[in-house]
Amino acid sequence: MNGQIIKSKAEIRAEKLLPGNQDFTSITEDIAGVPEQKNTPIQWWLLFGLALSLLGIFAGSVGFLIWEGTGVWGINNPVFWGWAIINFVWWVGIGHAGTLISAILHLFRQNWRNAINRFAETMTLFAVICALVFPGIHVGRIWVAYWFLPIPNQMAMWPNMRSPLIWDFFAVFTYFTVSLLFWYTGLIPDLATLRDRAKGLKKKVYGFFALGWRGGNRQWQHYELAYLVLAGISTPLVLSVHSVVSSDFATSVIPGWHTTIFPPYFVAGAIYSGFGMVMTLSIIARKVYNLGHIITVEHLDKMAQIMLLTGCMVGYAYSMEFFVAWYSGNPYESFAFVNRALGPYWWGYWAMIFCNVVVPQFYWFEKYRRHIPFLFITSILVNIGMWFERFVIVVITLHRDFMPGAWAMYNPTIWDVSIYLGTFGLFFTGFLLFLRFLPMVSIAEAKLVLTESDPHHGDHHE
Amino acid sequence: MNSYGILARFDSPKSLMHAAEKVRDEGFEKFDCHSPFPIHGMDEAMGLKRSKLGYLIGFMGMSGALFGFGLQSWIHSIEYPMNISGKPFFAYPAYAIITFELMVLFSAIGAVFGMMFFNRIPRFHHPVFYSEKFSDVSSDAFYVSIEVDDPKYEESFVIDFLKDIGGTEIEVLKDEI
Amino acid sequence: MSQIDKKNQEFVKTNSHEYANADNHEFGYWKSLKDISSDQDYERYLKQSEHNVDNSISRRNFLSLIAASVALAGLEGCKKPVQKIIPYVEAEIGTIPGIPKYYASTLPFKNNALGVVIENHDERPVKVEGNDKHPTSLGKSNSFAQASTLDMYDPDRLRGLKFNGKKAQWTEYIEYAKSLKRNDGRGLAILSQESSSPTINSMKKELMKKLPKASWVVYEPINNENLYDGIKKAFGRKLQPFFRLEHAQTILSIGSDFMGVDDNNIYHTRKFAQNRDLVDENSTMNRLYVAESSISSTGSSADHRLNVPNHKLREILLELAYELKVLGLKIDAKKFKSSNNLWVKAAAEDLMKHKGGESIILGGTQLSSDVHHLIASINYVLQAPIDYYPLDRSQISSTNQFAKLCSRMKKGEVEHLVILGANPVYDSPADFEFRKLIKNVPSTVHLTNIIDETSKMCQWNIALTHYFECWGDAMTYDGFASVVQPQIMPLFDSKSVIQVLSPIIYDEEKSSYDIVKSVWKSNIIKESNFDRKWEKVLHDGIYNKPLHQKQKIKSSKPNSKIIDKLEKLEDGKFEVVFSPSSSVYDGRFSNNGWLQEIPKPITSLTWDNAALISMKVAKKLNVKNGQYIEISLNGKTIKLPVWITPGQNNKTITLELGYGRDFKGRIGNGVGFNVYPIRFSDAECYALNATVISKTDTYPLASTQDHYGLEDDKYAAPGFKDLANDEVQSRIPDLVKQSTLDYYKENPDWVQKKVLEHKPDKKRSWEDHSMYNPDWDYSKGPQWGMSIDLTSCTSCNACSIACQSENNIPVVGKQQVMKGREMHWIRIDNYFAGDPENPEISTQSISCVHCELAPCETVCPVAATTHSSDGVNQMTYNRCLGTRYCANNCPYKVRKFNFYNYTRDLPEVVQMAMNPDVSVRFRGVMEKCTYCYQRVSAARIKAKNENREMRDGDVKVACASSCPADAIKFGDITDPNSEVSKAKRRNRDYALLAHLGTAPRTTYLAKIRNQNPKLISGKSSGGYQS
Repeated sequence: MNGQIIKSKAEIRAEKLLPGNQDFTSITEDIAGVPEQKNTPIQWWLLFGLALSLLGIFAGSVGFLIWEGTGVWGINNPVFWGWAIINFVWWVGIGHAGTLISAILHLFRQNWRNAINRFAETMTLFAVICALVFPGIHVGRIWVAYWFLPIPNQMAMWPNMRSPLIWDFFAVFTYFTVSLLFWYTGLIPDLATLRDRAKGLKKKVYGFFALGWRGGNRQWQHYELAYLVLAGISTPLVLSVHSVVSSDFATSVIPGWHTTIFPPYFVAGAIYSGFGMVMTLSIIARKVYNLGHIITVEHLDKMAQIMLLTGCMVGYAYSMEFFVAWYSGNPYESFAFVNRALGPYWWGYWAMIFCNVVVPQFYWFEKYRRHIPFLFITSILVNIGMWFERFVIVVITLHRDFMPGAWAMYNPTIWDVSIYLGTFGLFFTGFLLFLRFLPMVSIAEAKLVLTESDPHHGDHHE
Repeated sequence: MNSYGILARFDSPKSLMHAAEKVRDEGFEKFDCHSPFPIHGMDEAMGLKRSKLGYLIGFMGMSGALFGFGLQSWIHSIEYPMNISGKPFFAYPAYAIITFELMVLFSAIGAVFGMMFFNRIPRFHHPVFYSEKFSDVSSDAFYVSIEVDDPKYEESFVIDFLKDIGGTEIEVLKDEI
Repeated sequence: MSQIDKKNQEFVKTNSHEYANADNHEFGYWKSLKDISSDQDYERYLKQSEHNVDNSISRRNFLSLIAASVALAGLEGCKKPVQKIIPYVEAEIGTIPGIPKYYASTLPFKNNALGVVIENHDERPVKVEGNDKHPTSLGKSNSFAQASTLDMYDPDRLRGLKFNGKKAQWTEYIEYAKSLKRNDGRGLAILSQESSSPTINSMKKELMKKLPKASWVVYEPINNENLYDGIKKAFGRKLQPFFRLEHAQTILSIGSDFMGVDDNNIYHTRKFAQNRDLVDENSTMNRLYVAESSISSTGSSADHRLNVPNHKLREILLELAYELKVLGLKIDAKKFKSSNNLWVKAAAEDLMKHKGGESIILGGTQLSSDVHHLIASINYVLQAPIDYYPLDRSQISSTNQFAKLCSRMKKGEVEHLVILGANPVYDSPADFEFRKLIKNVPSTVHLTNIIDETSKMCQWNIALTHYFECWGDAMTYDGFASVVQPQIMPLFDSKSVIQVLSPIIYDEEKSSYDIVKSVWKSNIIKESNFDRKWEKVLHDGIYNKPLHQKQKIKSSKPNSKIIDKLEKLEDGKFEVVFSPSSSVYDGRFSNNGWLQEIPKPITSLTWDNAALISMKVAKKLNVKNGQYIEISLNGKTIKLPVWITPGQNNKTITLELGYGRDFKGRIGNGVGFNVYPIRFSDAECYALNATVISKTDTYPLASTQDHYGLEDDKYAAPGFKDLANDEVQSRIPDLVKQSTLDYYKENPDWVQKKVLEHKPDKKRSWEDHSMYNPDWDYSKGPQWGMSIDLTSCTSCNACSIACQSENNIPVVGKQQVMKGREMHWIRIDNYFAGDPENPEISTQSISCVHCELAPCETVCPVAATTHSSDGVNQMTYNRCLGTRYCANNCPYKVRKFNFYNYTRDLPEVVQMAMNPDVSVRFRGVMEKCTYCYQRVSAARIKAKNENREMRDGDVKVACASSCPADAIKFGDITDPNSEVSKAKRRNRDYALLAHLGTAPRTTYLAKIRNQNPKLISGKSSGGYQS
């Protein structure tokens, strides 16, 4: 009896997530068909051209920066950190959704994730690469940036392990490595699929990366365990990364930075922006490759719900910051926050509030959650808002801290902007190449959504 | 022209699983069930023991944590103690994060490379690849393969047996000469 | 090896005991020239070396070679470090590589002498310190003296001689000079700057004897002529007043910036500060009243400042004279009763209270001679502590003489004009039109350090020596003759005034050393064993017997009638004040990067001058900071941007002289705006009835600090324009703790009450607060610490430039300053409280405070900034990779970052000004105050060699040793008897932002104002307590 209900539920879910009469073959065809297609869609070429030119700008700007010194940026005394750090935090934040979706939702056996996890993981990888660029180039003497690493040397010079920047370095580096492994592990069976369908050189290349995968259960056994463990350790890792990033600020003495609320608040923000970016990209991808039946409105709806949740969390954090600043009775603390909202950069603060707190409130209503153009615009707004959040934290805090004698305004230069735009080139170049040559949805896992994939499918449970 | 084993195709995860149970009961050991995606309960169906990968990962994670904490303590307490902000040399609270990160890093590496080790991959040549049809297994096909060096292996008997349990497209894996 | 060298060595052998002596206390702590100059042969050698014919290797010739090569380096940009041209093993005998030598010398400034000690590194003068044996410098110095090092190594200096722009030979000039001695010098005119040099003075006498028809004119754009005339009117002859402020308990300044740009400022500041050095609430304190139109350094340290336009100052004075009726002034001053009467009454009472040697009135140079007459008479009656000395020995600027010269030039009566250092084409009064007149002179000579406005119009251009390079002398106001000794051979084949004059007078070029020595022999050291005394003079830099006696003066009772007319300002028009620049003075320091970039007191402006106007005027003219205005006076017009300044008078526009130069100086050319074109001989200091039109276009001005409340925070959210201003106002009491003397007496521990939470230096309270016990204890000495007394600091910038000179701090240029990237390790914050019309100014000099729990250290990822065992927060430059995290996390924002490679294009010559003990930082590296650790190490090594413990005073950090107010104390805080410990034990001691628990090693002594209770209205610094 129950069996009936459960089964029918399963069927309904499958219907929602994979509409139309899908079977194993059609799924393989649909997904593997994209990288295999002979003639690349024109939209892809357009986007790729744009991405490449941005990448060029990036290379040029970074070259100039290294040649001239960090003076080309708008940073000054007292605002010693500018867009570089803002962008770093922003990109790392975006890099959160991927592993989160793969790991946590995998642990919770949320099958709907199977349509978007590959996508999100890839986004994570390139986002983190973009993020890692900034700590590298923002230092004054780039040629000695390797001093971050604890390399044994004859001078017994070691990093200062008490410095949040070192924690940060380790955290982001670990996060990148683990995400890469996670992504690749997930990719192995699909590479095998592509290998088995390809000919000639392609076959060899895919074959090489497929590592000779045979889909035998003796392999699946270890594979599943490895994947499960990766998911298990990635979950605390994801939560830790942005907490550590937040400690760059939270461990300082500067009013507006020196707050214990930062770690959870940063993590929420990170997931928020991450999902925003996944939303943006998947909407584009499903349009370009008309995969509406694989990345369905159902998926977008679920993502919108998570964004609503995290959006409210950051909103709560913003209000608590103010409350604590006032409640602490510390005049320096209070002014730091009043200055955010009403000082010279008030517009930045209110842009943040609008994008991060006001906009997601629409997601309470299903009709907005399923209105794709609306989702597309709002998901972009959310990431703009999250950029402003970091602007508020970095610039507005620093430009007026303890000593009014040292207060100053901060104005970015053309090089701040060009390098930021440049990282989009870096990001999209990588991402578009992925779309072109790799399955953007996990073929193996997508099949698990089908009721047929259940070996007890059709049995009668007495 | 020597043979390496025999393939039999099944149409669904369900039938594959039933087949697996039968093969297991028949007492075969060197056999495998190939499918496009992991199938629940297949381990029991094939009578596989629990994977040892977990222990490896646990060990790696442990050593990562120890290495992380040890490295930091050694640097600041033994190798080159320096007065930084008047803090004690052995500032253990500050070491927590890197300890954790290295634990995660090591266990992740352990998980992935351990998985490869237990799966004996990368391995680019395997008898099953001699079959033309087998390539469907990564899309929509389900196969049982019984290897030639299984003690109970006897070609005609195995072929009949697989037929009985509902295998189709029975194929003896041979290398071309 | 040459003759000379042998002689040298023999001499050193025979005089080796002198080297020993040099360290004992008879001769003080520095080695001296005497040990060589006493040798007879050496004198002959000196002569030769001035022609540098002798190429043997000894100190002076070694340097002549450097000089030559530097000249080449400058021209051909040769890349090899010049110091390597001669292997160092051949340097002067007795030189210990890396150990600096100190030689006493004198910085002649106008008709005053400033005793200095010059630090020579490997025979290269790199740092100027005050000479504590010298009565006017008292071991201290000012920003001009500190920056003079950079002038020495200015690559734009004129090299050698030029005749009509072509390179000429010195011998050619000698021929020409001899030719000047025709027909009793008719048609020969010499125009010189003020000088107190006995030698030049006697040469002048001799010249006038030989050439009676010649004329010698002295002109300075900024001069004390009115003061001297006033004194003449009062006492019958021109006298040099010497204000003995150490005795003064009540000081009234009528528009005098005696601690700022006015002459003898070091002495004034030093002695003024002495009487403000509050040990505890019971110590006495002098009281300073200042009446001025625009806040000066002096005004900023005033206890009561009156904001009046200059032309009203005489009325204030008359009112005062009236209030001092007890002096029996026959005066009907009812008409003078002004709104300021309360203030004047109070001042008058105080003056009377301390009558008889303890009260004094100082008049500004801008006041007319009859006002000075009245001041002198009042001071006479008050028996003010002023000594009067004769003026005959020094040469005083005379505008009338200069005017006469000009009229003769107009008539074409001047055939030969020899200009010694002055720059009249640029800085003489506009109505003289000197630029035109000089064309009427057939032959002209200009002795100049750089090709300037005047040189361009002269036939002969002769490179003028820097005072590091030549023999000479000067005299203090009270008649102490001090000697100028060369530290180095002239870098650019330049000549001193003495050298240029000598062929005119003696028909041949005598060595300036001979001339100086002979003058001293005949006029100054009238004693037996001259040589011995002379040696001592060379060693001390000064002759210990004064040449002047105090003059007895008689004066009639002061009489207000002496001030007849009162000046009236037509309404709608403005009073324009021409004030000396605290950075470039009258323009003579225009090419000095250090001075150009130092933020000016009060305005914090760098690199430019501006028209200083008040907020009211700004509103009236509807101008914002940097917006142009046009100022017209007697038909002449100048256009320059405005800068809104607190405490500026609403009738007064203050213009700084010395900018808008048009000369061959890469640093100063075209910087700022020339205001001389509207400066006329009848109104050299301030002019009335200027008309002002505001323009729409603006000019970018580089200020290092935003002053809130003067302009609203224009970017702030609508409706919250004074958000920042209110916040600053509320923070001032916490940052610059200040109070009145009376309040302090009632609540001696008010400062301690405010900083109860943390008292880093008294009790290491943070140990109780800390999570775990630190592995470091700072109980074992020496532990370095600093104390800065805000009560005596006058924000004169001497410390900041001394620091720049000592620590090779780069000049970054206007653009970078505008981005907020100036590199000064010591920054001086100005805060204005209360009424912007006449605010209370709180200045605070901040450099790294060396926190014991430094927030900067723990965040550095590569441990580039760490703590030394003696408690100094140290930067390891070559470990720093420039994450700038430390600077972000510094609550005091005292860390400076090399955003670019600021020293990349530094000319070779300027590199010679670098201190070899301090590394020059590369781009991408953080830097900050090190407590002059190079000096600490040097002192430690010295102590070790003499195997003793370090004593208090062994380490003199650059800022402390330069501070004329002696507000900065540095030393070992574990030694209870050290200066700094004593200072820190005072109950005014507090740590900045103590609540953060950073436990800073630099602490401040709260600012105390000695305010007259009668004048404390509702708004007062007393109100700051709550």
